[in-house]
Amino acid sequence: MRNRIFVLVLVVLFAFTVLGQAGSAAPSVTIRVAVPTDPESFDSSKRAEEVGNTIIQETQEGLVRLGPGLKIMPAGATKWEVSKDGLTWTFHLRNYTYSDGVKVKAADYVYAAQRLFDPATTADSAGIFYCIKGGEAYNSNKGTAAGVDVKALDDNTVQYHLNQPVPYFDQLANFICLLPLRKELVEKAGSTYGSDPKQMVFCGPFVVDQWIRGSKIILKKNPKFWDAKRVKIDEVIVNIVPEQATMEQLFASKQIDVIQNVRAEFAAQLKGKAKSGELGSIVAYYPRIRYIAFNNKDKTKLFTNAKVRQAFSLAIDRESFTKNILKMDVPAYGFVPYGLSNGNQLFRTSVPEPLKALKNEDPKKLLQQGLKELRMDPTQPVEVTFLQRNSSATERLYGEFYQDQWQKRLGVKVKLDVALDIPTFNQSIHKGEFQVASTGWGADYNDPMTFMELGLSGSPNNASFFSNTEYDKLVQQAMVMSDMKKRLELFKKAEKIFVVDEAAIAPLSFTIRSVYFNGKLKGLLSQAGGPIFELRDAYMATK
Amino acid sequence: MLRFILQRFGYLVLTLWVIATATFFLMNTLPGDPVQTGTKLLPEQVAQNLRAKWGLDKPVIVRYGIYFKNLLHGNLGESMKTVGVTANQIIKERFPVSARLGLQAILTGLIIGLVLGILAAFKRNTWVDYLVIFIAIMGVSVPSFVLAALLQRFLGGHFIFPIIGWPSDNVWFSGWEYTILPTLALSFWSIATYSRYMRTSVLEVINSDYILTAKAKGLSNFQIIRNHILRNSITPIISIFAPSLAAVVTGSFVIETIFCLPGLGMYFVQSIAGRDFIMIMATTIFFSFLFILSIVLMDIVYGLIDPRIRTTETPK
Repeated sequence: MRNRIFVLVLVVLFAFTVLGQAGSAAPSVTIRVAVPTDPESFDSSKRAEEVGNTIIQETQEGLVRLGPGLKIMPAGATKWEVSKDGLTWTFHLRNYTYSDGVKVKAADYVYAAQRLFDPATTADSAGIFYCIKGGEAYNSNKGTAAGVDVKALDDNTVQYHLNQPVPYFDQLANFICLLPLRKELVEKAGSTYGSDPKQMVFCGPFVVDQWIRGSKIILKKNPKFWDAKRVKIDEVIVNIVPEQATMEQLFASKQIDVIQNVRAEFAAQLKGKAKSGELGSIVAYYPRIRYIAFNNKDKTKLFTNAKVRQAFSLAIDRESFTKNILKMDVPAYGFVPYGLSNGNQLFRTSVPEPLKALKNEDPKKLLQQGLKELRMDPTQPVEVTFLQRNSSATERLYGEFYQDQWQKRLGVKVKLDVALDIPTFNQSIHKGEFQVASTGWGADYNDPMTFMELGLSGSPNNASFFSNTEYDKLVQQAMVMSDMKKRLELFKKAEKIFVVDEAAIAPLSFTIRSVYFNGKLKGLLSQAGGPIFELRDAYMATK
Repeated sequence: MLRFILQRFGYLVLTLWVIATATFFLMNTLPGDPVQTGTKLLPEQVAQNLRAKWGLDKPVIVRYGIYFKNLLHGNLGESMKTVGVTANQIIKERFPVSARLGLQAILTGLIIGLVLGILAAFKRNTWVDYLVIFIAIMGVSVPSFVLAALLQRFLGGHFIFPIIGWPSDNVWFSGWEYTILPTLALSFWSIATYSRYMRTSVLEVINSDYILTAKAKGLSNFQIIRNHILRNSITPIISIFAPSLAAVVTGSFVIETIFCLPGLGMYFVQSIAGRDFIMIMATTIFFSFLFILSIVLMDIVYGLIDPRIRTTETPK
């Protein structure tokens, strides 16, 4: 009898343990994040803005993926090779499927490339891929889809043929524009493709479960993802929060787990908490520069002179600007930001910022010399007009800072002109209807070229209308140079011409991006070129 | 009466056409190319493809013709920024959010405002009156975004109030807890305005002889208010109610931004900043339609309540 009771007790205990385990097995993990705007679309061909890019990269798996330390890692492709002449890139795909179980085929990559250049697609980023043979022609209505030289050798091999060697093509392969597309689904949805997740399939770590425009996007773990076992997050709720103050309040009351772009005052609070370990943080260079563009084709002739431009560049105290005015970021004395690599090497670690060498020159003397070279009377008062981006309080603060610096250190008179709004400002810059203005540039891909090509004569984004044959020659050589050491030297020389010798622009500050998050959240990545938050390897620590 | 109504609707169509035409041409004089709004210029070929897609490569007058042809078919076009989504669809998705918030706010404002106004008039020169006047002054002078931020800061995340969000499953009848703070923030102005107007107009009526007669007949205060005061003092409220109905229902940019509501008001402002020509036109036409419609309806309601207006408007 006693034994029976003992056995019974054991059985009951055992049952409870098993049931208990079943009950507590893998509680569902939800991460809540926030972004400032709706994505424009989930269509990977059409647009490339930060939010859409983030959602698409979290939900699709292309050839490669950006790993820790900005390394390009195998993803949909297990390996790839470049031909000797650098013109042919061959990617070998793994066997993996979309969320509906259909295999991802090389033909889907070919279709994506053809659709990118189809003029009817109106893809914003098509220009970045004009290096693919036949792309530009098709995009300009002069070629055909079949003329785009991307070939599927078999179901698992895709080959890209280029016009010229592009040593950083693996970086470009990380772009959402090259993600595989299922022709039949895209064609069925027609022009509405990308506006409704129900029409789409996903081959990445997550799938888009719901998109309530203006409110939130819900991502769910993709059970069909080839590496699903490494994904520890079951659900991601992406709130759309346009107001930064609201976002900060959500984070402070623990209703979101991650916050980015925090304002200086709030960042001070978070820094303390990050030190004590209550919060996690990623504070890193983000490849973006804020700079002053001098109109090198200035109608008053003043800024056509290199010495004058040097004077205006050196008259700005960049330390004071980042410390007291921006209250973030770091001073810039070069054009290529930190965090960009030339081949396997970070550019800025081997090339010091060139303008630092000139730091002790007297700007006033340079201005006098410049005026003399221009045959202008140095005793006459000089007046310049600064074009302010818009009438916001922060832009006014910046404008008044530059005004103060130039008036104090150069003795010139600075008039502030205010653009109606940002599109108006951009139009004035593109048309060259300005004298001096503050603008910026961010990397399109992880290579110094994304900055250096800006200074080429006639480049559409050459805001300062700079034109220099020596510079053009150096950058064009670098474009086709596959010896990374020589390429570094070419860039180094060109950058010196751009910011020091010719002072086409005045670099002001390099961006630092900080992301703060729940201290329990581990394995989060946030890097330029990748999603704002890469959650593939993220997990919630239990303690 | 029928002729009166038809005439009003004729004016409505005419006004709409004038507004749409003016907006169309004004919008096209905005500096800033709609396909090149960013700091980064798109390559010329890409920009050309985009221009061709939106018909921006055609002269303005041709585009105007095309636009109006589509408009007559009820087709407002495809948004230039939200890829693959039509303006009709965006209005359909977003308008109910703004409309629910607006209706709740205006009903709250109307009910509380009327009650406070009547109370203040009856208790003239007592603390009740002063309190109502104080609320009214605060209500018109504190901007709604300040109140919204304060409500969000001190009540949001506590009790049952979420900081942000809006019910998504049943837009009209679910998730009341989400709507309380934005409704309060938006209705504060109406509470203040209605109570002020109501107080003044009740004070006018209250001293009339017929109220004295009613009192003499021995009617209770409640009966006097219901039968004699309300009907006679509500005309000025109607004249401010109708236009504010349209204004409130079409959404508040500020409240929607602060509480992250997927409404139409926020979208309108964003589309101007982004030079989304299609959405600017669509929202302008839609807003003006609602606004003019509410004025027409107001005229009709006026006529029903006060026969004097009908007779003076349409002399026989």
